[in-house]
Amino acid sequence: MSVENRWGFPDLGLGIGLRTVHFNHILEQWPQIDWFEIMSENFMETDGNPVRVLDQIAERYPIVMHGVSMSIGSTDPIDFDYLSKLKTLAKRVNAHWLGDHVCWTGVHGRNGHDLYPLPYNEESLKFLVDRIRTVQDFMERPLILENPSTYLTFANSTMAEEEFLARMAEESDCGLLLDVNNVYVTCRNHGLDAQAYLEAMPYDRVVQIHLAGHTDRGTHCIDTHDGRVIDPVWDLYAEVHRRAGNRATLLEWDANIPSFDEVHAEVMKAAKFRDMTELRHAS
Amino acid sequence: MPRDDSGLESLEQWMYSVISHPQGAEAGVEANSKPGSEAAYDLEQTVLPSEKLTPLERISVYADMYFWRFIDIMSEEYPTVEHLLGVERFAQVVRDYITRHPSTYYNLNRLSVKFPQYLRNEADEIPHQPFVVAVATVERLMEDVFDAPHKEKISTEAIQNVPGEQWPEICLEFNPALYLLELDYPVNAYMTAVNEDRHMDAPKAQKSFVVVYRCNYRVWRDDLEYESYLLLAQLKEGKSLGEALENCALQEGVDMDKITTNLGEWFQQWTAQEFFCGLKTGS
Ligand SMILES: [Fe+2]
Repeated sequence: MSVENRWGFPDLGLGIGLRTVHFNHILEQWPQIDWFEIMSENFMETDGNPVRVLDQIAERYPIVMHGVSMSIGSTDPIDFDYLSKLKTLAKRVNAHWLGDHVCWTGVHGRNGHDLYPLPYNEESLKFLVDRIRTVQDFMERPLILENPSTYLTFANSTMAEEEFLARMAEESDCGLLLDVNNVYVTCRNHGLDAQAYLEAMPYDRVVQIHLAGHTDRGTHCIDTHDGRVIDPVWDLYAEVHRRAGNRATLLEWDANIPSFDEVHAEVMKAAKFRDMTELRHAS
Repeated sequence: MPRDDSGLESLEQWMYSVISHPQGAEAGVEANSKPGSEAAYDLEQTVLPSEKLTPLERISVYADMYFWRFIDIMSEEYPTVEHLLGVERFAQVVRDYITRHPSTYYNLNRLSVKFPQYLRNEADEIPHQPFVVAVATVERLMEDVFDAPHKEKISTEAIQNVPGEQWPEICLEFNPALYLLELDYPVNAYMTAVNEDRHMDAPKAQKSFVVVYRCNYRVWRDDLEYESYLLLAQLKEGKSLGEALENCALQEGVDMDKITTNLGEWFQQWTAQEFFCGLKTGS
C-alpha cells in the first residue's frame, strides 16, 4: 500500500548521490540507475567540469537537488541571492524537487558549513515555520526538508524531534526527506525510540528517503556517509516502507567512496523492500 | 545563566562561539560563560547530557568537526603547501587562518581565497615562506581556473583561415579560464615532483613562468619559456600580434630568433590547448 505524498511528487525509484569520482564511469557507461541527487552547492558559481557533466546527466536521468547551505534555522537574514542561484540551477537541471536540512549552518555572517541543531520548542518552531513559508513563496515550490543527525539536546527543548518535524511540516506546508540513517544516529545519540520516531512521521509529506552509513563510536554515532547501510537501518527502511509504500529512495556515500557499481549494488538492496522488482532505466 | 527560551539568536551565537574557539570547546565554554560576553550561557544548563556523554563531550562533537572540515577541504586544495609544512603544521596554519578569516560565504569554494595572502602577510613564522606563498598562489589559481567561466574555443580552421599578411593585425581573445604567472621560484617543477612522489628539496629562488588553464574540462599547469610567456602576456593584454612582437623585441634578454622560429608551432599548440576563443583584426 502506498500513501501518496500530497504534491504528487513521483516515486523516482532508487537513486544515488552524484559524486565527481563517478563522472567518468557515468559518461562512459550511462549505467542503469533510476535517478541522481545532486548537492546543489557543488554546481553553483562554477562553470567548470561539473556543470557540463551535470547538463549531460540531466538530459538522461531525473535530478533532485539537495543543498546544505540554506541555513533555514539561522537567525541571520534569508540569503535571497543564494536562493536565486538555487532557482536558476533548478531550472537548468529540471529538478523534480529541492531540499535542505532542518538546521542552521552559521550565525552573524559566519558559516561553519555544518548542520547545527535547533532547540525543539514553540518559539523556534514558529520562527522556522515563518522562514520556511517565506522561502517557499520565493522559490514557488515546497521545500523538502531533512531530519539531520544531531549530537546534542538543548535544555530548552520542550518536544521530541519527531513531533517538532511533524508540526513544522504541517504548519509550514513543506515536505520531508526522511533520512532513516539520521533517525538511527539521532535516536542512538539521544537514547530515543526509533519506532516511536517513525510512528510520528506524517507520511503524506514524506517525499524522499535517504539511506547512508555512519560511524559508531560506542558512546555516540557520527553521520559520516562512509560505508554500507547497517542492518538496523535497513530495518527502519523496511518499517518506513511498510507505513508509506514506495518512496523515492537515495543512498548517500560521501567519504571513502567505492566504485559506482559498489554504491549502486548497495542501494539496490532497497529493491527487495519495494513493490517493484525491476527498475526502470531512465534513459 | 540560561537566557529565556525565545533567545534563539543568542543561543546560536553562543554555540557558534563555543565550537569555533581555536583552543577547543572547553576554552570556548569558558570564554562564553562570563557575564559580559555577548551571549553568555552556562553549558550545564544549556545542553543536556546523554546517557554516555557529558554536555561538554556532546558540544565537542561539533567543535571537533568545525576545524576538521576546513582542514580537510584545504588539504585537498593545497596538497603541496601541506607537503611543505607537514600535516600537523598545515593543520595548525589552517586553524589560525580560519580563526582570523572565518568563512562568511555559503559556498565553500571561496573559503581559501585569502590563504596565499594570509601566508604572505599574517602567518607566524613558516619555513620557506616565500616559496610556500608562491606554491599557495598557484594552487589557489588552479581552484579559480576550475570554476572560471566557460567559453567555446576557437577552431583550428579559424586560425588557419587567417591570411598570412593579416596576422600582424590580429588580436586574440583568451580563454577566461587561463592565467599567466611570473614566479620567483620553480613552483611547477616542485609541484610536479610532489605529485609524482619524487623527493625534491624546497628550491632556491629562480624565475619561472607558468600558464594555468582549463582544457577539455581539466585544469593544467605548464611551464613556459620566457619568450612564449612574454608573447602570451602581450597578447592577453589585447595587443595585436604585430605590436606584441615589437614589444617583446624591446625586452631585455629576449631571443627574438626563438620567437620567429617557433611562432607557427606555438600557435598550433596553444590553439590545441584551448588558449583562445576568438580573434579579431586590429585594435
Ligand atoms: Fe541525508
